[in-house]
Amino acid sequence: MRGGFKLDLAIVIFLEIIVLSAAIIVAGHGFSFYVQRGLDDIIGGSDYQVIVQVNKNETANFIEGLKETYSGRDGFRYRVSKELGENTHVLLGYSEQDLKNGALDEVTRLVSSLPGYGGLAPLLDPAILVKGMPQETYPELIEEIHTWPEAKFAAKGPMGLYVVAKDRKHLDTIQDKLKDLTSTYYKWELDLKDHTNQEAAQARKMIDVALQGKKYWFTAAPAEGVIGDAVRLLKSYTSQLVFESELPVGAEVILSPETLKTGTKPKSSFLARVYTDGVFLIKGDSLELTGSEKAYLLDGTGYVKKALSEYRLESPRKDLEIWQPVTDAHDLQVSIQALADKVVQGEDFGILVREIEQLAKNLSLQVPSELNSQLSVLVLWDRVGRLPDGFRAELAQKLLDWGNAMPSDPLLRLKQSLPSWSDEDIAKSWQEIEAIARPKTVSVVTTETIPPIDGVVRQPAAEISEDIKSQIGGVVNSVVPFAALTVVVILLWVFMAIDHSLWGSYLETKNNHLTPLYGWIIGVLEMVFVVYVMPFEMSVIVKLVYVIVGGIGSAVVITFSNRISPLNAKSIEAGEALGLSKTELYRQVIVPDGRPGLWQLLNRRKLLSPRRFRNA
Amino acid sequence: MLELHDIVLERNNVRSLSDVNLTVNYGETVVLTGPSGCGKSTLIRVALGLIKPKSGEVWFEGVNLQALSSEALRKKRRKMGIVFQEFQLLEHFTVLENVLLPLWEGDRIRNKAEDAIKSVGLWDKRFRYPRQLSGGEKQRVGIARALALDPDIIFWDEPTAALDPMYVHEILRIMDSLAQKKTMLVVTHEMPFALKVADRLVLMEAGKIVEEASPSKIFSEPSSHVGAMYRERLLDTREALQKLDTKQVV
Repeated sequence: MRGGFKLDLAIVIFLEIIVLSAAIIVAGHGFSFYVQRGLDDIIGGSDYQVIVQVNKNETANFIEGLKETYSGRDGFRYRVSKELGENTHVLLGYSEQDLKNGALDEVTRLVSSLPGYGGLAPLLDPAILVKGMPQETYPELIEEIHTWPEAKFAAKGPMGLYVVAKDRKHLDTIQDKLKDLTSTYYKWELDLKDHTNQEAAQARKMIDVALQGKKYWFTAAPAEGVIGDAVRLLKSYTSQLVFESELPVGAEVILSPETLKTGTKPKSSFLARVYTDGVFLIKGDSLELTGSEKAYLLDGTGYVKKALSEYRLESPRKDLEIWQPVTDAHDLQVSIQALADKVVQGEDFGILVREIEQLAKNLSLQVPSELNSQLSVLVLWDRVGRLPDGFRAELAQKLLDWGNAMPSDPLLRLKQSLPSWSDEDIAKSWQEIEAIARPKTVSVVTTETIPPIDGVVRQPAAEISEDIKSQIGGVVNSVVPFAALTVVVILLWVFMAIDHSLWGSYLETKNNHLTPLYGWIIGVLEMVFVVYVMPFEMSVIVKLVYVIVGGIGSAVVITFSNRISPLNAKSIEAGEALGLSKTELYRQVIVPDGRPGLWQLLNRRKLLSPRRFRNA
Repeated sequence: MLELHDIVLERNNVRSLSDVNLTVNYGETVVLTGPSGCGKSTLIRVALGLIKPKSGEVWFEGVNLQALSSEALRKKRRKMGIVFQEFQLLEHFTVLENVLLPLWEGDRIRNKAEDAIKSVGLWDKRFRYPRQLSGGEKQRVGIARALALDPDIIFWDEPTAALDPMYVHEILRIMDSLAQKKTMLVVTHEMPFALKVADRLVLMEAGKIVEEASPSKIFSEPSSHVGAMYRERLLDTREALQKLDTKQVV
């Protein structure tokens, strides 16, 4: 009969705090895991940095190729995520060192040739995105960022330079440091009046002159680079008419099998337009041209102005059947084959190492220092004749495997789809794209502080903000502590209902009106401990709200004690009549009569047992 | 031994006991009776110190219970035993454990409980739970529980009222035997028992004691209409028994 009611109550409260603290940790980490998986699926996350779209039917083959491509890469991981329509999403994750070494830069190249590949996106959380800085400055910036303790890694991404934080709480610090780091770079922006390429080119020339001998980089609008490439690529597949005489830019040319008179309005299926870079067929398909059509220049209103001299038709559509792609990837595979041959033929490793370095340079890669030191050891072993048997053949095979895993020519895909397009389709496509890409300003990034040209607006070059996906991650992640605390508050109320309502019920039988206060105090006490030990970031005000809500809920629960744990008044009267103390009345009569809970569990040890009696 | 002086009890502005004076001497068996709701059970609870009266004093063995601290009162209560009308056993304890309960905070001598159980003839059922017992057996457990502490006085609060007639006799038999050894204050409507066992019969009506004398005196010359009513009932019972005897002779 050691201790009294107060000690029992203290032990119960202590155990409840332990359970609640364990609950908040378990619930917090559980929700965190659940939310993280959801985030990984939607926006990537800390475990996965890239999401790849794969044709559903090719998923198995893609995974096989993926494993082969990344075999032996420490820290590489993948997860087959959701299916959306005809696509499966596959998540890729890399080790920190791999990310620092540029895994994000190489991923497109490595996986784009795998079967079923349908595009990818880097997904980083938590991350700061730096836009507006020239790519030439990235190596220097990345090198500096990698010395920051708060940064996990920095990498080039589709929208700019991504700096991934080790923890969300470091985002602000990183943002401040990035502002300092990029503070010496300015963007000069010059508005264009006519928004034409010629005007843009003139403005660029003017800036070239003004900044001669200084450090500067022209920057394209975010879309211009990609769209410009697309326009150029598509244009190169559009049929061109080559005339001996120069035609006015913007004029239209009609091709007709019939002889047309000047001043008449022609009807024809074939129309071309004069651009600065050539006369492109914009209506009709070159495959339907017989070669006997004559060309006529139209005036601005659509009437025939004059007949044109002979012309030559250059049609990539007609040449597609025999066209073979020649690209860097092809060159690379040839280089690798040559390298493998040299390895097998016994070329000195010192020379081979230099060739590997050259190869990496061609690919804008840097041979990691660890690999360099290993290669140096290889050179030494080679020179003292200690290379293992079959080493060269094995190495050559590895090189060839690597080369084969290189992406095939992306133009091959275009070639496969182009035959179904007419020249008109192709022209429409690039015309639409070009309309979007038309330049409105010319901007240049420089470290110069004084504007060299009138009318130029100066602003900091770097636009630093939290990545949008990271922001989503932040919002979703912030739900975790709320959810965990809510679980704990509900659990607290359950404890109040099953453990403390007994005492509340007893107090009510004694007409004690302080019962709700008893519930409130216990609720607040337990919540204070829980929010103190909880391992999640949360503002003090929110914590306070949870403490108050926990307390109020506990008071309410206790108010209904009599309904939750109705006590047998006659048993209590019997206990009192038998002379039981308040403690023993609670232990022997009230608690065993209540609902099974923590208190009842603890009370078992205190319950009367004939074994604890002795004979006289 | 037990003295109640000028006890007044009010609940919700309704007076349930009015100027009650009652004395129970050592070794005496006092039977308290009266119409339902007249305050008999309440008076027992006042005597036990379970209910605090508005005014008046309860003296037990020379000590004023009102003057005691709750702890001292609790200890004093251990010298009083009570048998309830509805047994009021703890359902989660066995017979043995129910009887051991009053000893739990005392010397924890098991024999006392075992002897009490034996004395009410329930030794074979000591490991059963109350739900496994008949009404009469439950009340016998209640008696054993009251006896376990070897109290100086036993209060009986209509111990046979909740029982089937077939069990009443065995309880009355136990009470009869205990009356030889213990001081008892018994609330009951069993008039033959009162006539046979009581040293004194106290009649109550509407929270007041209306008559107090030896049973033979009350049943022969009642001075209150309550006494007259009980006399009538007793005579009716005797008449009925006589008719039964005649029929048996015929």
